[in-house]
Amino acid sequence: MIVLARLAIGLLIATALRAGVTAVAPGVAGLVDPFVVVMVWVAVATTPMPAQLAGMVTGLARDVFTGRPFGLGGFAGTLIGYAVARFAQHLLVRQPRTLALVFALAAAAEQAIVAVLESILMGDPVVPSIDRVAIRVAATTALGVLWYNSEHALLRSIARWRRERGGRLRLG
Amino acid sequence: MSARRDRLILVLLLSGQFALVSSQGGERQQTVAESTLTRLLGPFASAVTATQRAAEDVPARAATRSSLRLENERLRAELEVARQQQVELVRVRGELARLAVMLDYRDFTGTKAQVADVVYADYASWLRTLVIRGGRGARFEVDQPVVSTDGLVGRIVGVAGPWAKVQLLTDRVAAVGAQLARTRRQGVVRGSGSGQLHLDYLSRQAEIEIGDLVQTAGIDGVYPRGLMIGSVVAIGTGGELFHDVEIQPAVDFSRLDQVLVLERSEIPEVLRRPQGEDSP
Repeated sequence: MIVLARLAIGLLIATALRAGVTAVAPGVAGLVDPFVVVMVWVAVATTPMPAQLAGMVTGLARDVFTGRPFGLGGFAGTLIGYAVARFAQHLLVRQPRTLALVFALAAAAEQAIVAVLESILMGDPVVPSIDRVAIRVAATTALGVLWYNSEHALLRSIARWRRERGGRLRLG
Repeated sequence: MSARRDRLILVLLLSGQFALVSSQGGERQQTVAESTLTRLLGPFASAVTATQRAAEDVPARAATRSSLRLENERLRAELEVARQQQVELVRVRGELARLAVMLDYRDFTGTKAQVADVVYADYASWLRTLVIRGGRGARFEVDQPVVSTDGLVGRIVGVAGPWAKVQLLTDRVAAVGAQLARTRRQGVVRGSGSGQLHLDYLSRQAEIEIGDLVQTAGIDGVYPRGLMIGSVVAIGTGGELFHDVEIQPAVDFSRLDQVLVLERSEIPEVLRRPQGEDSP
């Protein structure tokens, strides 16, 4: 249930970010991938089974907003969700450096998987330049870290508010 | 067991999606899943985009609102000034209209006019008269026409310095050469002593209607042509030759407080003499 809630919230935020960035700066929209962030954000908090399903849905949602064949993003998302969930089962990924590494690897893997699939299935893939891949990995990583820190800040605020509220109720 | 199941599901998912992409054969085709996701996420994306665009319009709208407010304030100030000017113009227009009527009389008759104040009115006697007083340097003469802004009042019958006595049209012995404004048929207007006027010597062949305007004809050597006398209010059978016409004076004599005394245009002496008097 929590996974579903995270997935729904993540998809809405990613869609909003995507649409917002596209409206403000269309050229920048392709340099950052919020859907990869959602894939990682959901997968880190769950097991491989729901993680791969969430990754698939997120990837397919991403495909809605791109011109590439529908399913490429889903394929990549399924793999990434599974891999991150498996990784998170063995390592503690809540540290900032580890998180950044996971986001960076996920962003790079997503592009690599899509490029390979395109080369296999379509024969004439659009291979992005190294610079563009690097920028995209860096931007997505930064967004992922920011996303995670924002979530933790929000959770801390809610917890503090609950404590304060409980204290007042006991005093009353 | 769980890991094996996860890997199995992973393989199934990847195979299915691989087949999905392969089935598209490099061409962009709309699938049911894609259509469903588009329906789910499309409105949200549209809402975000619309909100974004609305937010972008905020500064422009604020600037427009600010300029409109400034323009509104300026227009309000101009409107206030215009209203004040309008009030002044209405007042001046009324003044001009009153003066224009007086000037029209002077221009229309082609004569100069002197303004005189009515200082006494005698409406009781048979000889309906006014006493007027001119301004500084005023000089009146007997038989000078006296008019008001509404029409003919009468003529001067006596002068005493700046003072003058005016015989009103309604005097029983007053007579004015007149004509119907519509048909130019001529007659003589006489006072009845009761405040009404009669138009005499108007031929029965002359066309006349109630409401016809009567004005001076300029044929009596005293009054210039075109001064308003009054309007026809009654047409009687009269005699065999002439209509019996009653006229309502254009001037309300009971409300006169200021009149114009027109300069009399003398008829050349040679024209006053009977025909053949100059000939040897």
